[in-house]
Amino acid sequence: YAKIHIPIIASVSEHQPTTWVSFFFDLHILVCTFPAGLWFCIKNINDERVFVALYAISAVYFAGVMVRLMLTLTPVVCMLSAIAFSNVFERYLGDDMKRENPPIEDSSDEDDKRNPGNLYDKAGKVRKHVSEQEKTEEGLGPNIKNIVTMLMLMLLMMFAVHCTWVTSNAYSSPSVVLASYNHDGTRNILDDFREAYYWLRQNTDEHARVMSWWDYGYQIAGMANRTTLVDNNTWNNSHIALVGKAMSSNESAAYEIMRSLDVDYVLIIFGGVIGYSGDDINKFLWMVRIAEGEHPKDIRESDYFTPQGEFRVDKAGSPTLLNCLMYKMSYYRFGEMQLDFRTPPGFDRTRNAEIGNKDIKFKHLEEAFTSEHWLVRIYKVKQLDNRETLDHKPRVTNIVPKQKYLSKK
Amino acid sequence: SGKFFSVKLPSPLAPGAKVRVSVEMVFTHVLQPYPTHITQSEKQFVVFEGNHYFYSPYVTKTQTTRVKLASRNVESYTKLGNPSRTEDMIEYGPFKDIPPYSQDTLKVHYENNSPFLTITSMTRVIEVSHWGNIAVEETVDLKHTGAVLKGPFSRYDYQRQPDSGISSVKSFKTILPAAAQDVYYRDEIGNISTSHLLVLDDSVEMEIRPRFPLFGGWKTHYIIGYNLPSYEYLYSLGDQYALKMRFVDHVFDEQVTDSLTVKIVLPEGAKNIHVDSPYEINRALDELHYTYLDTFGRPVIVAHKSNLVEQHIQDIVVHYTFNKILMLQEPLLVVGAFYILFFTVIVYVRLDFSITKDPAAEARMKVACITEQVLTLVNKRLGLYRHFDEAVNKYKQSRDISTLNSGKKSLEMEHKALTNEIASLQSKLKTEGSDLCDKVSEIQKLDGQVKELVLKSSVEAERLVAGKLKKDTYIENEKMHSNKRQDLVSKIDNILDAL
Repeated sequence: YAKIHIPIIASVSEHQPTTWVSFFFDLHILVCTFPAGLWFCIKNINDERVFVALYAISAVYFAGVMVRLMLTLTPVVCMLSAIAFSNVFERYLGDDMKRENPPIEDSSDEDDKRNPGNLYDKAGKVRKHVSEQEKTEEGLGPNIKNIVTMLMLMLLMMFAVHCTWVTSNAYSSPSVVLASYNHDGTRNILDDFREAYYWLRQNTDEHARVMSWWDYGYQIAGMANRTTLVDNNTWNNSHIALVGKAMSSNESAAYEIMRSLDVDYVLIIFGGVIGYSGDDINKFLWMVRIAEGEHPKDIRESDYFTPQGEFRVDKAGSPTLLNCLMYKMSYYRFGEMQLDFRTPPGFDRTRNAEIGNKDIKFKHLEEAFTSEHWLVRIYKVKQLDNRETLDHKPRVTNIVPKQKYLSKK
Repeated sequence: SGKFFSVKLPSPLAPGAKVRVSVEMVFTHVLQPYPTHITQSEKQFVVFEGNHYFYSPYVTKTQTTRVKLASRNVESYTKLGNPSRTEDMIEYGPFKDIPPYSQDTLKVHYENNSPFLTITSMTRVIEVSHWGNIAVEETVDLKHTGAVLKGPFSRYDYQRQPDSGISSVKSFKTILPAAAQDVYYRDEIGNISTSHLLVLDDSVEMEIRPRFPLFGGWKTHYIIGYNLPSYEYLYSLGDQYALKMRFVDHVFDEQVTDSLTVKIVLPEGAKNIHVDSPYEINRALDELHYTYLDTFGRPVIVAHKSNLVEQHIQDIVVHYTFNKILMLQEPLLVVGAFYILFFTVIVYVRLDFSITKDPAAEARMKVACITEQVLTLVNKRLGLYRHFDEAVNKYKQSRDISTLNSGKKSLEMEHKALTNEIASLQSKLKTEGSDLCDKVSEIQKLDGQVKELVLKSSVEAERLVAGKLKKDTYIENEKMHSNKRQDLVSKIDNILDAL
């Protein structure tokens, strides 16, 4: 229920159904050996193995529903794959010498101590007897054994390499610092997030309030040490919807909401200069959906799509989208910027489109800071003007006073 | 009014003689930005207020004042005595016969885009360790004290227009001592990745870029630290040590520091601390600093000073005495800690904290112990037979009956001893009420039979050697005997397995 009907929960990318790619990414060859292990388990059934089989089946179901629940599947996959591998190795690595003395089966310490002493006695004599009995083997030639063992070992080694790579790239890199690699292999570090957060920390008033999307709430609270409106602890759905509404309305309506919430700075993430795909314009539709959930009369998701039903940021985009606050904040002054000579100015690298609204002017916001690669943009919310501007022209009359009034005193 | 300094000439000046004296004075915060707030695209103008004349308690016969400016764009300047102006220099004078203590305000309003960085506060911590390392850490608060930025900061203009934000600070160079190693540059939220280190022969240059460019009124904060080898800065003579280090180090060229705190942490047990400073410093009370493996704390010398410039980079010397034996204190502490830990574990493992004694478990443990002993003895005995076999073979080869006899004797002796021991253990088992003693008695019986066979084989060997027995029959008999022995030994094995 929650996944479908509550947009905040639906918008989290880890709550989407699992794809085969992510199954393979996390489990590699264990995806194939896991059913084999399950079968071995069921073949020699006892009480504990019933539990393992049930756990395995229900974990497979849950992992297929949500990516995040892959966590519940991994322990049982490892266990059952290990059972499968050990069965294979046991069969194919079986040692001939082990079949020598049937009595020597219990593995007590006394046994170990005694055997060397006895073998001395039997030295010249026993082996002759046993070697005559060895002709009745199980028919496993050494070639097949070697091939199968080598194959299994290679699979396991590739699995180890894959796991190391996955852990280092996907699960260990801090997403606050982005690293990219040039064509000659040198590493280029993009520290924009920390740059902007540190600027906020040092150069804004201590009690300033920052409005941003809830993804960055904890980061702002931790690194920039400023009050935020919404953060990753997303329990107040209507408050988040209010922020979403402010981001999706035009500037005047958004300014009213920001004044009512007493916001000093607005922070957004914009990936158009470097091609960063996790920026706020890509998350924008979720903001609209969440806002629509609470304010269906003011925000309609269909307004932000073209009549053909596409989400476009170029000239063909819907006018509501091209005038909303998030669009204006992301692309302010971007229309003049030409990234390289082949593309026109204002070419958004993430959406691969030239933006539609290039001449953006703000009435109530002012650009306070933009980080080096334009990744983080911070705007200051201006105070109300001292005087309201007249919304009509001053009155002009054609009446000329007949004579100047002179005092008779 | 004012501050008076007295200068001592190298040799007395005879009447009518001349001497050249050159005085260098550095003033901080005298350039005021005017206008105080500028936008990003404007240039920065500052006002300098000074004195046209040379302020001195003596009469000045002739005097020229030259003002060298940072740029050629001068907005206005006071015109006393028809000054001449070249590109970036204004020359006043020459003025004649100026009375002492004469002042006349000199005001120049000109463009100055050089970086107006001020270190508002700096803390320098020097930690001395006699194991060969001096760790230096500087915590710096930087502020741009030029004209304050008003209005928006446009990154587009900053990146694309060449003259946008010319008075802002993008980066600066810090020069560290030549032997500096393990340099780190971080702040409260982590490591700052925008820096470059260049190691040269006589210094280490670090090009530091703050996380964001500093515009007027913007400030930042960072921490720089490095390690130095102590043999370059710590001098010793017996128990006397002297640490000679710079009081304040280079942060950027022509730096201005508003307030500086220096803390020097000396090793534990340093006494008779005495500080020689090149200029006046305010010493606060000595503190104690507790860190790794410290028992009574390390003495810390704390000193403050305000309003420092680049010319204050001079050495300060700290003298102290330190007993060399105290250096052993640290490794001994570690050794002692481990010793106590292991000792406690050893004692604890041997203590028995069970509340009730479990007689069955105890009896089982005793029986197991005795069984082990029985096993070792039986194995030894079986080994004996092998030895005897070897002796018999040797006899067959060498026909030396004395060796055979000696071997037989030793076999008999040891066999007897072992059998007695096994018998005693067997009786012990009986007292414990275990049924294993029956098995042990069976072993004894079988062993007796084995011994008989062994002796028989030796007799046969003797007879063969003596020629009383034919070789074929001997071989047959041997085979029979060995088979029988095999059976008996395997039976013993089985019983031992069951134990």
